[in-house]
Amino acid sequence: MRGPTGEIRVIQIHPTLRCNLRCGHCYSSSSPENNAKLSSATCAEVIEDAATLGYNVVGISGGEPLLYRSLPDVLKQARLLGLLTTITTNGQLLTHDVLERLADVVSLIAISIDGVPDSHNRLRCSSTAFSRMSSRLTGVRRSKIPFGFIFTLTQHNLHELEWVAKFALSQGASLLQVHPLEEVGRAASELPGSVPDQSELTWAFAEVARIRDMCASDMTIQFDVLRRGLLSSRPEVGFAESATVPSSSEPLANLLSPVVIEADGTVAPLKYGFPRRFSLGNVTESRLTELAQTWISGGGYEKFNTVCRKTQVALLAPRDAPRLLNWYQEVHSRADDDNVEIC
Amino acid sequence: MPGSDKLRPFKVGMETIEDIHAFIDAMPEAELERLWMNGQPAPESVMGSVAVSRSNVGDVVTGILERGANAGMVVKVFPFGIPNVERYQVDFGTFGAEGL
Repeated sequence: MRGPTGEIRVIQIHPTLRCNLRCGHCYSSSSPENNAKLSSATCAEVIEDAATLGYNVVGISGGEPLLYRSLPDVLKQARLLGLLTTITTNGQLLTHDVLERLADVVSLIAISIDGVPDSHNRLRCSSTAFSRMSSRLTGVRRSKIPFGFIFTLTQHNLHELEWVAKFALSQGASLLQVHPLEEVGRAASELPGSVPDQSELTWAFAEVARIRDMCASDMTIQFDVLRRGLLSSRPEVGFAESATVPSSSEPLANLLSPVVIEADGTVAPLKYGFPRRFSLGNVTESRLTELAQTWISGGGYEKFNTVCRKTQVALLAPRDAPRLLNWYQEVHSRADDDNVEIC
Repeated sequence: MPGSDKLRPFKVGMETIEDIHAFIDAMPEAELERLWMNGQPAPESVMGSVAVSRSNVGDVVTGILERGANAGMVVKVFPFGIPNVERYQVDFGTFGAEGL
């Protein structure tokens, strides 16, 4: 199976960039004034096509997805088509009414948390962000919807991960995802120098292992880094396998996961904001199934595969190559470089 | 400051340094060659060297690590004598001290 998500074939949709917060580390520069959004009709088509293309998980992010009015309908449609559904939220708007509407249509709620309350509030540029989020957790537990937390690892907050893990456990979370900060979106201007360096990622790897032991089987802890050895022995996990020409009849999900639908309709491989020259197109102009077919038959996958292979070579070649990689960020930064020649 | 620097911070107390000093003084065939402390008024880091015989090197290393556990003590052992090792130099210090 190609890609970092393995058997889980994820389509990530950002239906809106509107948000009730203006976080300093937001990769999509979402804010209360950002009104970019997908129409509910486009979302419905995307979900239908995603099922046809072999995706089995729909992840709704943003912006704040709870500000997207059609969210329950989008999720309901996905569930009817047999897809699992997740939403990533800052948690502040998880009121009783909202949870009631989500109860039967969402498989997992992922709530953002960035450290102890003071750190969380500082990153989220709101003095009440933590208290408002945590005040909703009783209702989330009562709703019986499985939930977890997403912790953004910076250069400066690893020592707070244990506190976050204990907090997540005490609240009944089933998942803690640790995701390294990427210097994109607002983070590039607001948090320069905050991306965890190699030394910090190595410390984090050890700390995550220790906390996994501490949590035993009560909570899954996922750390979004790729070990260099795995990239070398199984390059397909980073889409860096030897060049192959995929069959035009191959479902997109077999080739590409995650695929990202941005609020302006752009279909990006791998992650939000991936350089546009690798885009599959725009779902406001064509159906996703058509874009997928054109992308595959028109050499889109080979082009993407080439930049992944170039990234792999560049990362594995030096003798002091890093052992832990934020693969998403590494590919993104090379794909961003116009001087990298692509077939 | 990196977050990892704040993980379970080590404390280098004077008691720890005095304890290691006393331990080495009491060890037969071991001689404290140097002991440096940094930080005023409270010590922030410490490093030192011990010359020790083959038969006692294991005890010295164990003793230093046990007494310095809360200070994040690490050791580096170097053998002297070719072809047969006659003695060891045990360099010890708090984690991150220069040369360790």
